[in-house]
Amino acid sequence: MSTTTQSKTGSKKLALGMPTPEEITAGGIPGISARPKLPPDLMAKLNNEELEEVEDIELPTEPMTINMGPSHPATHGTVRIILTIDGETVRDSDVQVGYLHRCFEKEAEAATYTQVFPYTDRLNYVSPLLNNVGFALAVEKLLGIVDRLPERASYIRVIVGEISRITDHLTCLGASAMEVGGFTPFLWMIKVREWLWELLEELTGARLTHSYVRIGGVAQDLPEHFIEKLRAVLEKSVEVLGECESLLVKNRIFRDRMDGVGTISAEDAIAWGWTGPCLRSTGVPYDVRKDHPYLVYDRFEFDVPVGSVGDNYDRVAVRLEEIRQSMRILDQACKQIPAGPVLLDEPRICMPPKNAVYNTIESMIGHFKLIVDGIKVPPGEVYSYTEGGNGELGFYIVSDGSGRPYRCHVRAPSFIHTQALSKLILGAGIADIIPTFGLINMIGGECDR
Amino acid sequence: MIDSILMFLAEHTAVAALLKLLLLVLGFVMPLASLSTWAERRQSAMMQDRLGPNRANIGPVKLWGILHFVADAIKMMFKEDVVPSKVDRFLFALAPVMAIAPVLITFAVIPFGPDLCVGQVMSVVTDPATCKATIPLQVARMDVGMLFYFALASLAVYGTTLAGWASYNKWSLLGGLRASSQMMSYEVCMGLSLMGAFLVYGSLEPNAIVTAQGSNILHWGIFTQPLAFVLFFTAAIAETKRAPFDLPEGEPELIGYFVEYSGMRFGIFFLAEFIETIFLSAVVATVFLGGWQVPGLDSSGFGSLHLPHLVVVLLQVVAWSLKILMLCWLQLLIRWTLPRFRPDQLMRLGWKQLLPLSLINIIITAAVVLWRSGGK
Amino acid sequence: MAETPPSPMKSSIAAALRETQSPSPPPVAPPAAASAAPAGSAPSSAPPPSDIVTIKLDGRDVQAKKGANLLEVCLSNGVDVSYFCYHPGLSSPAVCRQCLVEVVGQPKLVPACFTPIADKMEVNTATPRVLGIRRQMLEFTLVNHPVDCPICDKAGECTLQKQYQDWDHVGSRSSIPKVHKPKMQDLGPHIVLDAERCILCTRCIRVCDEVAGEKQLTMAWRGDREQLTVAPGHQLDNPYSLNTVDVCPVGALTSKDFRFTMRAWELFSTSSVCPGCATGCNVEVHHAQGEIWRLVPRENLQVNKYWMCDEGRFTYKNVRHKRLTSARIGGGRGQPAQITSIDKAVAFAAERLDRLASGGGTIGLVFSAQTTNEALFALSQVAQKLSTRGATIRTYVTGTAARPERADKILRSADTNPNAAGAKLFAGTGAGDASALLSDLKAGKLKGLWMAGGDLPLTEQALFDAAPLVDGLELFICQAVHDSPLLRRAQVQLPAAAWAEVDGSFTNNKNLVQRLRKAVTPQGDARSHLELIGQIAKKANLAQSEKWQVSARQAFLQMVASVSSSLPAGADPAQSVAAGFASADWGREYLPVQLRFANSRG
Repeated sequence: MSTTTQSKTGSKKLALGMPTPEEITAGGIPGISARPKLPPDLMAKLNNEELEEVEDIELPTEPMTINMGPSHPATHGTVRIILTIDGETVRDSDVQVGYLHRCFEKEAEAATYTQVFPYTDRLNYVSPLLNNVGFALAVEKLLGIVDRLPERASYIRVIVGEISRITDHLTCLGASAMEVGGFTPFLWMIKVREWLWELLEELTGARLTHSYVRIGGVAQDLPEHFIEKLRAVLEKSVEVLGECESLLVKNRIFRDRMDGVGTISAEDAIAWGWTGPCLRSTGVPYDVRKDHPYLVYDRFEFDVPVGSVGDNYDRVAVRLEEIRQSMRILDQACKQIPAGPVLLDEPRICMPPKNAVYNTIESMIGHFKLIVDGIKVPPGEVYSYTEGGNGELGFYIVSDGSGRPYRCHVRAPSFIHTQALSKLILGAGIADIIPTFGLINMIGGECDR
Repeated sequence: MIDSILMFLAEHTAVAALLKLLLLVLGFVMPLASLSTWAERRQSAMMQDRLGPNRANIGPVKLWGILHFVADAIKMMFKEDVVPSKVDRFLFALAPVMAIAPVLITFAVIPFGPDLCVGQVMSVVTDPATCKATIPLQVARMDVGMLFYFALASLAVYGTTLAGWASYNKWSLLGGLRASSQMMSYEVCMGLSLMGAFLVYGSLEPNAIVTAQGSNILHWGIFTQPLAFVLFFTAAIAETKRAPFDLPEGEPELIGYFVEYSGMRFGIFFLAEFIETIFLSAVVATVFLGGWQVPGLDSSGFGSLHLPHLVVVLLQVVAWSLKILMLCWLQLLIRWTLPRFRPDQLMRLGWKQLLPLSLINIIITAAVVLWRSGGK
Repeated sequence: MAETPPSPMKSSIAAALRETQSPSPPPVAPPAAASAAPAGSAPSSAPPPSDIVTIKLDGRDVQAKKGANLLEVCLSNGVDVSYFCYHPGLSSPAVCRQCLVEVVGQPKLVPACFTPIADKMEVNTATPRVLGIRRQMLEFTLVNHPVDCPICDKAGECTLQKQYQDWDHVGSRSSIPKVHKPKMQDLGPHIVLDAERCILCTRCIRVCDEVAGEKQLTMAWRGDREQLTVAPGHQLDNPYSLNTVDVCPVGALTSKDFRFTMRAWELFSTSSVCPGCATGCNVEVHHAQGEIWRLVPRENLQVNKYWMCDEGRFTYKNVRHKRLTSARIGGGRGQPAQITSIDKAVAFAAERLDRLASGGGTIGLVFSAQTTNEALFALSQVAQKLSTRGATIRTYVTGTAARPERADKILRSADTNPNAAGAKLFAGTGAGDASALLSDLKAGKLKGLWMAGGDLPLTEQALFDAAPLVDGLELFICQAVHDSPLLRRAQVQLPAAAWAEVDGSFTNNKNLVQRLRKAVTPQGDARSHLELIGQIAKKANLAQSEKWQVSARQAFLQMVASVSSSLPAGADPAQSVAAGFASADWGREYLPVQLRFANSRG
């Protein structure tokens, strides 16, 4: 079972200088779980009491209905919120998703299992490799080859997955900072993301739509000196992260904007089906990597950070800490990664080497059948779930024994989190909608599929 | 030759005022406002590890991209001027004018240099009061001075409110409402926080305030009225509607009161914002940073080092400009560092924190002034 | 074109999916009708109990007819055994040795396709020994197989590819150069041979010998130089030659018509019926990008078994070429017609028709034997309405000319119309033929003429000469698929959809009502005959919301109910045409199947 981050004494300074590896692994924002309880007046405001009081003495007003989105600068990922507002207070809201619907699930039925990977890239397009891994694991579970995966491939999947998680959280945090007007930390975080994406580009050939994972392993081995470069980037990143924190976590205005806004209780969050950083922000230490380890996650030491109140600040803090925990995992993975093949040696699942394809009829046929007919997956159904950037990313696949999924459903965490948005922003101001929406981290590609 | 021109100007104050206004607005304010559109982007780029706009050029002349403001102006001018179909056309057109006109006019009360002694420009002037004829380096010297500024500055709120109202757009209406409530709230605080300075320097007339501060840096407003400086600076940034007080614009939330404006109409709002920034810097410089005063520089020169009158005046004008530039830069730093307030937090800050503090400041100042003047 | 052996790992979902996708059940073959099928082809006729023996197949007891082919027993019991040379419609020579299985008690492995079963036989098909031999045989077959998949027409539907992937999937161990044989050998008017790809299964030889009855192919040479060839001085030119391409498990024999046009896995398959003659061979229409690329025979033991003639395969070209794609109206009498919209043309036709009928004129209705049952049924309904309105109706059955020279005892019929029986049924007993139509026209007996199908059994010249006969008509409505001199003289020229563009049914010469399915969208403005008749009837107030105006399926149901109302369900089609309707079934709807995911057809 998971462990929550032990409260730091609070005396530890933010790492502004060059961090030591110990600092990377032991890092963390001071007092994330030792955060003081919110003052009563702030809690009262959560319940909208203050605003209600004001309403009584003001002139009678009529609520105004106003469209936020689908074309609105803050609705990254195209969502429409029909607001009923009273002054600046949200009295009712209707969150409408679906503007980015791309028929992922239907398209998957028309593509071979291998051809689905590019589509998964476009689910949560901020952390495509996590989707790649999630889908590959589902198919592998159905094929029954999860236990036979090459170790090196599993480690590479963990490494690229954690890099993607960091980029995902960086994007979410940066965008949230930008949405409350803090443009500078946003670009700093994007700078770090760029470093990481450059690494991934070197590995996969693409910055965003990697399609790097294959059923039975990954497309190719790590390039030379990848591990060293990764370590160097992580060291730089920790430094920038500290700077970002100093502009956000220590900033009175930012704290005021985040503290106590968009609060949800652990019970409610579970009832809504929340997972991932959003659920952990309410204090529930559920992390698929910890509770149902897959790949080689059971070999790493890492903590599952949790929040206490379930407000926007907790979601910021949990994500910040998760970045550090991901760095910790990366550090261990870089040390442990063994040598070996990166693709399963199973001709009916994995491609033969190109040289053999061009020169022998046997491999040519194998290649041809894998491309044209696809990987034949035994009939059956499977639900496989991994920890995506936003929460539990599940793939439910039904196979009829042919080369393409008979049905493929994605349990998209964004979609499930977005359900609760209406509740979170009820009674808040217009200005609070955006950071709340941002920190739920609704990714259109994943939500609408 | 120069003397005779100056003499002519000293005798014909109306002509002089016109010339000074042109000099100030066209020669200083507008170029500076244009430049600050570029500076803002370059400054933010530096803070954010970017390059920022650095490529606009005329042939080989690049100047670190300064020419971007020219490109911007050309773009704004030639962009299609979209007027949505249901707007109130008259008010829609009036709003940008209402936004920019007051801020340009208020520059009339700002002294950008000491009085110029006509006829003694090349000699050392020890006491300006002995001058036969002077040209004040200030467009309009009025006794109401700062009150005139407050009166006009509060007109600027009409620009934003009208823009929000006339656009026939709920978002811009919200922006306009936010703008009016914010500007009105913070005007109170602005006025009250300057009261202390008026008490200390005994005048509402800006040049008198500058003169009263003198060349001794310790007599400047920032030292005699440190709390008022912070309060006024904060409130004045809120008045300019720039981050962290950019709620009326609030681009991720409301997009702003000018959401329906395009082309040069939008450009005028944009420019007005930057001119307000400069004007705010000018007021802060005047009241708290000694205006055109240079530390240690009297009208005869630095102590025993005597300088010709023209050199002294030029030094002081340059000092005034540098102070404004520095304050503009400071505002850019603030703008790109801090996140935005929420409307209720903004109101709480204005009414519950800044206002009581400025009242306390007045009381203490008044008490001290009373005590130092011996209760008379 | 053997039926794909069922995969051993088949779940209920897969079975359900296969059922929806498989085009194999013939559209009109209710079980009760099987007894009326041609003798010897009834698979489900139960043998007497004494003939049933029990064998042990991979450890489980399986019952089958004594002496049945072991391979067939394996396949029908869901035991997958690889094979190349066996074909359900051909004899089994056991030349490929790919179906070797272990029979307990026999020292050597036996070829399943050549082994009749006996009581208490114990058969193992999946022991390491069997699987090893199977793999070795595949390796052996592949030693000299060229690396041609990317340029091979068969790739994607190749049995060799499928068997390799299913049973071998081990890389090459051979380092010696491959034996080279002639490529691109012209065997006949339709076939090209690539001898290198041939795996010497002799299926094609047996198709010529046993199906076409002409011994035109043979094997020459021996060992690794053995190759297929035509007998000296002969060509592979029998009318069933293209069946050799279908049965070829690899890309050795390819069709000149189809090769290098489309990749097999990009095609979609829709089952339909060949419109070439009255036999009504069941076909799969292979189409992609809105075009038909080839027709291949579809198994129907009552009609065509596994085969079809070469001529029938090219009927798809009629769908592509010389089409009438837009409606035209004109003054008739040889004056040029104007292109217009279907709606305007229909309204024009309806108005004239109404006027003519109300005036008590004589109207000739032409029931084309090229048109579907549903459209002809609709026309017969309209005929009734017209006569109640006061018109005198004369009916005629036309179609393309019979060609006695093409008739044989295998599949080809002299009657080149696919729906002669249906046309005769719906035109009624007093219907005239094409010559009656011409003589009536000549005699000026008709005031109006409405043709549901533009074909007449005339040569092009004869048609050109006869065309001016229609100039005397007050109204001439012609619904036609193709442009013709006759059509050009019609006052209302309506573009009709071709056979592959409509849902409907044809009645063949055995009175079987067989289902056509829409494979491609009609060209231009064309609409089905049924739709055109329905719209004219609606505009002319002859019928407003009859069932047959709703959809082809509704028309079919109404037609079957009306034709066979007095007959018991499942009546023997051999008795009468109407009895064929009694046992007709619309079948279930499905989307075209992409061959890519329909497993190798092989």
